[in-house]
Amino acid sequence: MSFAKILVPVDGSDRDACTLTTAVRAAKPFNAHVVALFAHPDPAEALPIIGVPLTAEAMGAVIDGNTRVFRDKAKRIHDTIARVVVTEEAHPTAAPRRDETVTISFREAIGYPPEVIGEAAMLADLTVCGPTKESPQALETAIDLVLTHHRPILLASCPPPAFRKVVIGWNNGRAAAHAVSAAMPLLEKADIVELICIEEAAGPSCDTDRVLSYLKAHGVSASEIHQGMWDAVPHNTLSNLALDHNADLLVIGAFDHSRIRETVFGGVTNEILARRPLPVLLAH
Amino acid sequence: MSIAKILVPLTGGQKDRVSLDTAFALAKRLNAFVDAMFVYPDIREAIPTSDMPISSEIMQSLIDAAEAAKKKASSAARESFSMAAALCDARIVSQPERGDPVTTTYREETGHFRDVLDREAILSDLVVFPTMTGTDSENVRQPLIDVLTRQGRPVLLCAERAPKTVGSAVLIGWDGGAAAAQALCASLPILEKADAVQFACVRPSDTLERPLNDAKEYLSLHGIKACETLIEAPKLPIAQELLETAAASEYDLLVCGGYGHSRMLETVFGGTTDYLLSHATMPIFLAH
Repeated sequence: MSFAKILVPVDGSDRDACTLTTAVRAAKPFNAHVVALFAHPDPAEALPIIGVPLTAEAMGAVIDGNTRVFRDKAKRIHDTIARVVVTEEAHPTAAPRRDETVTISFREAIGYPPEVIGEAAMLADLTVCGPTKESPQALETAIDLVLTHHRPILLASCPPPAFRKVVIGWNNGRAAAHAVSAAMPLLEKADIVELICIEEAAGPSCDTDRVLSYLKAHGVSASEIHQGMWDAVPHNTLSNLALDHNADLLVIGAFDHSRIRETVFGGVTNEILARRPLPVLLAH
Repeated sequence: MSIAKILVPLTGGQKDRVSLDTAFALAKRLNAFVDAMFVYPDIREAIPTSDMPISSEIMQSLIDAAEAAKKKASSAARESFSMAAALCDARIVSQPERGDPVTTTYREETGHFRDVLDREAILSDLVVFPTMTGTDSENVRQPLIDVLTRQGRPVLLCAERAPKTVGSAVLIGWDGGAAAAQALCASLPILEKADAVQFACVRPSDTLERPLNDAKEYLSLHGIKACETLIEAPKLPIAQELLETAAASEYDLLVCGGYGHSRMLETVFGGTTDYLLSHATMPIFLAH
């Protein structure tokens, strides 16, 4: 099993280059196809609500303005794709198809972005999301993909790495197991796979035998590098630990606890979504 | 994403053999590892709780009876396993590994069927369940629904008899829903190895939430060519139409989304899943 179709939501910002490069590098071992999806609202519907009715001229001007903004963004995305294609030796195509290198196509879709992206992600092997730190909408999209659409996502980081060394953050949970199976194509191609098991005082204890034997069934030999108590360490240490071990990618289950508990107590997932010093593959 | 480890829960019943034969037939195509797991409750639970003290003789005889029943079930499961493994020329290994030919292992777990299954299913790529005809169907239905919806793992529901091949010609029930899309993604490893793949569209194409062309484009990126047929104005329940279409054209696997959430799925496909569960005349691959 391998990746054949990787979806990348793009928005015409500076983050796109990094996100696209990450996607192309994840696609490279499989020569998969990358779809850059630009989802935006209908220019005619993105009208401001100001309490007084807009005149026809004002409305026309707003629609024209919106149309121009979206056109400019689409142009910037095309430029970014053109640059990434050169640096990463990929091949642009008009329609989705595969070739002997990674191929990239561009798609523009009108609608509420998190919805359009979620729909498209249903028929993709992986969705690569851009940095979420400065973009509330990107964060919303990422959370929506994982929680509502139950699709695995890869959160990009800058600069994009090659996926040689992968660290799995394991806690015996269902979400972590989903993340491991979603990441399997990358794990199979990685040079080194390591496992960090961190248990909670109230949760199940570290039992890495079963996950190691599951990985073995897929032909992946992983080694366990760390075990510890969750409550004894600050919440951001999972990504720090992975960074200490020179990981190129961290694989974790997302929102394993209820969202409420995560928001109230500050969760690992939120911490990683907001700071994210290295790419993270998440599944629920 | 890939199907490398197939879990087959065994209870020592007559249906074990069919589950194992079906699992091995699929494992052969995928070069997968078959994890045969016999589950039996702790025999101490055979002791009834009552206000009256139970004499030690009675307690001993209860334990002895439970022990004997467990031994009998275990040896039946073991026998089904060794016959099925021999039939498929599977190599018996102690630890999971990927290899040619198919590898397999037999193990025994003590505990409640559903608890053990919940624990083991999350680290399996596919869980095989026996057909639900007969008196013990409720013991199968609820665990299957749990694995499908709570643990989010795909399941393979067997028919009453094991077919010679599983996954050589696959029919996909497509209603454009989210569950159908999940089933499509989850069954990709099987579709990639199949000789023929066909969509059976159960709704007119202009009312589909996800157009069939999107699904076909996704499959073609995976190198899978699929054709399609439209089940128009079904006279029978959709599930029955699907099973009959599949049987008429000699498909040996049906892929469906199970228990989707949209209104349409609730009213039509929710019922469809239940119908499929109790009328499976061929192996059915379900994902949620």
